[in-house]
Amino acid sequence: MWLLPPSFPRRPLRLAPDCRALPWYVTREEIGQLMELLRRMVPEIKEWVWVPWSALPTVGGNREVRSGAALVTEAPAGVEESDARAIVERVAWPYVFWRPIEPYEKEGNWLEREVKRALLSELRRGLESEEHPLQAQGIAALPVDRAAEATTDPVELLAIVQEAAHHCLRYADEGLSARDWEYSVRRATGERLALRLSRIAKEKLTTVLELLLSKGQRPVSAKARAAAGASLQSVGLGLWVEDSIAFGPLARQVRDEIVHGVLLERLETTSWPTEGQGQELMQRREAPLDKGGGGIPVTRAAGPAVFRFGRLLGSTIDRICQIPPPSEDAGQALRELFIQFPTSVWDFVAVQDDLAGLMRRLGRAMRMLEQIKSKDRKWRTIVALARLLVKPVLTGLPSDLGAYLRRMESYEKRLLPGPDAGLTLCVANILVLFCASRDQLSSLLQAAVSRFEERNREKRWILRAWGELETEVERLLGHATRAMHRHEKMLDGSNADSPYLARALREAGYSVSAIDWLPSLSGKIGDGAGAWDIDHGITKLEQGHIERDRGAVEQACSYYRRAHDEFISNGFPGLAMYADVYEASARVEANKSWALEPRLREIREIADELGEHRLLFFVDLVLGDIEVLTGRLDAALMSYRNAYGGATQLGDDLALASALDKQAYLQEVRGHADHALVSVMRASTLEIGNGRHSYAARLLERAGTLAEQLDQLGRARSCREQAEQQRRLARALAAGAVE
Amino acid sequence: MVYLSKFRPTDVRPELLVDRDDAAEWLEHSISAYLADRDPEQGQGFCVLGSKGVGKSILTRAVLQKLKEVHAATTLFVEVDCRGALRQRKVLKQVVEQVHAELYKMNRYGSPGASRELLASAAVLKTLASFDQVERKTVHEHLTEFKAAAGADGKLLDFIASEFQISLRRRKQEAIEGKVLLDDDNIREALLLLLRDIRLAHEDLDIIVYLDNIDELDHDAYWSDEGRERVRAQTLGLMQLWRAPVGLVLNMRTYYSSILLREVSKRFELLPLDDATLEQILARRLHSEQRAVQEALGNDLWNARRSELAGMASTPLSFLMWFEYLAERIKEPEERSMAEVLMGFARTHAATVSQDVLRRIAGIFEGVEAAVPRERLLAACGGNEALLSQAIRSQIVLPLDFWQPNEFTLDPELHFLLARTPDES
Repeated sequence: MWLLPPSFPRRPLRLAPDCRALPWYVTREEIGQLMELLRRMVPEIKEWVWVPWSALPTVGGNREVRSGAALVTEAPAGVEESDARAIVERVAWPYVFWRPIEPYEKEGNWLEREVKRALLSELRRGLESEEHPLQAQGIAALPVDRAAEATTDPVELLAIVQEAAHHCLRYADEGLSARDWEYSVRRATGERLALRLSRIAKEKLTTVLELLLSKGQRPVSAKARAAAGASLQSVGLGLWVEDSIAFGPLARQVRDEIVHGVLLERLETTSWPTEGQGQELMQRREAPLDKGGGGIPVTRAAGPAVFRFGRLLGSTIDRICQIPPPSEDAGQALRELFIQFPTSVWDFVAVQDDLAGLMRRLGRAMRMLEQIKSKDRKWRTIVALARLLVKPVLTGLPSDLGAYLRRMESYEKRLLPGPDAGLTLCVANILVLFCASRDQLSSLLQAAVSRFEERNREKRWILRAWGELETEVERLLGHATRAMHRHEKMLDGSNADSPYLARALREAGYSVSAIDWLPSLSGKIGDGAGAWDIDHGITKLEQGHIERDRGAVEQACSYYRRAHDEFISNGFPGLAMYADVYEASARVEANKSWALEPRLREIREIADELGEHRLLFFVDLVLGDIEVLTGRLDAALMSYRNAYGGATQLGDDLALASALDKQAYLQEVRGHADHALVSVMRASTLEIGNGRHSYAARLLERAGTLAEQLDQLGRARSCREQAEQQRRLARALAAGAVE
Repeated sequence: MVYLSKFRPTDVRPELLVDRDDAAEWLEHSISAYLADRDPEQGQGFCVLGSKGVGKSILTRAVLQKLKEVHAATTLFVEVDCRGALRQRKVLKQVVEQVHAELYKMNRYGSPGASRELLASAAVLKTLASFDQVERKTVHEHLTEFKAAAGADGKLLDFIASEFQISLRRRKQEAIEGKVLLDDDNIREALLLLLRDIRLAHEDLDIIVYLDNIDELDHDAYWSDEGRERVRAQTLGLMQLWRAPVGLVLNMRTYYSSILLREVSKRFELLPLDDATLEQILARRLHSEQRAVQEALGNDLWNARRSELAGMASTPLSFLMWFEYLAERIKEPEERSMAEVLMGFARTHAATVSQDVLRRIAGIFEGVEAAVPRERLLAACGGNEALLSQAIRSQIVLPLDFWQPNEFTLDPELHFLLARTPDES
């Protein structure tokens, strides 16, 4: 009762002396709360005493009852309704409150008509008072009426309002709008509903949920249905009469998406129902939620890095292995080391899944190498090279990647004279997979750029490979336009780069142009000399992305699934997980389904465990989308924040812009047009900075709409003018982008 | 938004009565005529009828208040609210207690006839009324202090002695063993005798017993045959008080009135008030509010709203409730009609039934007076018995006749649902 003001009640409640039945489903604690409420509200009730049923004949018949005392009791199990009634009717006290053990038709509606109405008025008055200690936090905006719609019980009303206040205040540092308060009330209502449902026996809960959600997916016997109806009635969520159910106000709230979302969360965090069918029921929403504002923004970030130089690596290693070792053991140790290395780093899952094993094996192989004493300079160089090779796996990425690569190149050239330095090139590309921060990527980019500048002295394909590394790093940093231009410069007439150029084009916002570069569309995939297994999956992914941009969600998902299969069959389980996330993302954005949430959670767990930040970022954004759509705005906020943190760490501007875009959407949903405007502007700045003008134009259009909204609300000065400016800029950018 | 401090829609203080002159005059003259009749054996029953919230209690209280000012020195005024009492026994007990309290006052002021013996007799019955079944010995112990009653004339003590074998005039040698059953019938008969003894004690001594809300003795009992029979027995038991030489004033809803005995021949049914009177009632109640509140609710906008509300309301109670609801919620400007705004009232104040069902139910009522058969209500609930049961239990609909609940009317608090927009009509 902490939310009730000290002056409560401003208008005492006139409750006539009476014998009143309490709701059959309330707990003793709730009865105690109600009596305390009545003690404060009703001047005639100054105290209350809890009298055991068995003591009623003795205590209840006392002729001289202390003035102002109310008697509270509860009927024990097994007492017939008529007998119970006869006993309480004889209690001579002016105020008698008794709780029947089971649904009792005379429970009546005194609680709603008399107590709840008075409490509602008092609550509204208290919260809107300028003297309320939480006035500065905007507690006056807490929609008490919304809570009152969900219950007939004053104690429950107070509980919902208090829980809502408590919940909302947690986000006070972000600024609270009326929609936040409303959201919190809906959330608190969901908590209350979950609490009541949790009082139902687990084995009955699945049928209860079916009844509650009107889902008849599986055949349920009349007996089971009746049992479910009786269960709902037993916890006060409905009335079961002649095989028909009438839901109470709290149960009806399940239609509200926020309430539904809270139930979903409770299903996840509690063990009910045991069969798992409840989860399915809750997730099978029939109608997608319409949040307005143009729907969930598309999830965008640079796609996963891939390593495409396996053959080059293989041939280089073969050449090194052909250098005569000082001993048989030495040759064996070297082969052991190289066997581990090239096969393991192809895919991050393969690497990380057994990182400990890999490190152990590499360590063992290195020790073997180190133990072999030889004065052979070449051998010592090999050992030094191997030491460098395993360093990223064993001790993490070196801080100065440029120096690291230069040293490696010098060792490599000592062993394999010539300008190629294929091993260094491959390692540089592999390092991309290990880069988990902007700094590391920037360092690698610098190394690649400086290496690329020496292109005149090298073979063309080597140059291209260094250029490709540079392009890839640019892309991973979210500089999609720069990556696209570099790709274009490197075109050599083969198809080998087509999927990757298409990817760069699409990420830069030129989906239409990207279509031309997808080899599978022109039937050329696999024809080129440089085509690799991984290219097939990447191509399918790109086709999926393009279909998605066109709005053909089912086709997109079909491509994503094919990409998944390609990756799996070619040994890239990590990339297959990306395909899964893309499919879930496409479905969610199209409001089609979010049944893939459990799979996403599973992927998230793996990505988190492996430290695969890019995948984690994707999953967090998509999970956030699902959470918004299912009304779990708190969870969505957390997911989007995680994603934002991930994007910041990745240093991917595209991802950052996407995270900001999503956050803006959520802020809009929560009614924070002002915060949304800031996020949208930041996102558009990033997009403009990276030359993605078509995206920037869309964001600026949205910023204009938000500014207009704020102007209408009188919450921001000169927003109209600002909105117009943004629109003009957006149009200019859009025109530029089209050109 | 304006929060009212003293305003209470359910306030039935007599000074808040507005209009109802005809009814007040009728009741006042009827009771006055009864008080003027000096036949000590003759009682008289009066009944004020009307729908829920029409103003029965405030009218009766106002009239009794006025009569008290004239007759307080010689007349016992007993008022009992039967709401929720469930059993006649509780009401009878309260009547006895109040009779005792009134006699005590009169005795202190030296009113004629309010003797110490009579007061002790009332105390004896008050004591007995607090027992259901008790050891005779215990009763005697409790009654020891009321020995004075032994000197009273009248039939109460004889009845107690013969019916319960409890005598205040007993000799010490008499055995006082065994148990005594003090059931409702016995207590009621004893009360009738007490009232008669009082009436006969002095030619000027009169008694007015006012039983308010008798229809709410156990309102929800009408849902079942068994419940109705139970409450019928209890109500008829209470109405036996007409046999006492008292002025018995009953208030009940019209739908309950078919139980009235023909002996309660003086009846008056309160009809709905016109819009202007409803507005006067509101004005009277707002009078005690702070000036700022009065000003905020006294502008043209609010005057227009009052008129709109009055046009929809069929009872003062619903009109006042709606007004309070709106005053606490309307933020200016408000472009919706009052009926639309009041949908929120239905959502928060009658949350049990879903809005959808509520609208469907309201849709089958042709007007505020209209009644619809149960079958139509069930059809409006989509044939769902549980929904209908929910609507009945939460008093969304009320029976046209409590004793034969085959037809129902819409709760006056929800009559705004009947206000049709031009499109709907």
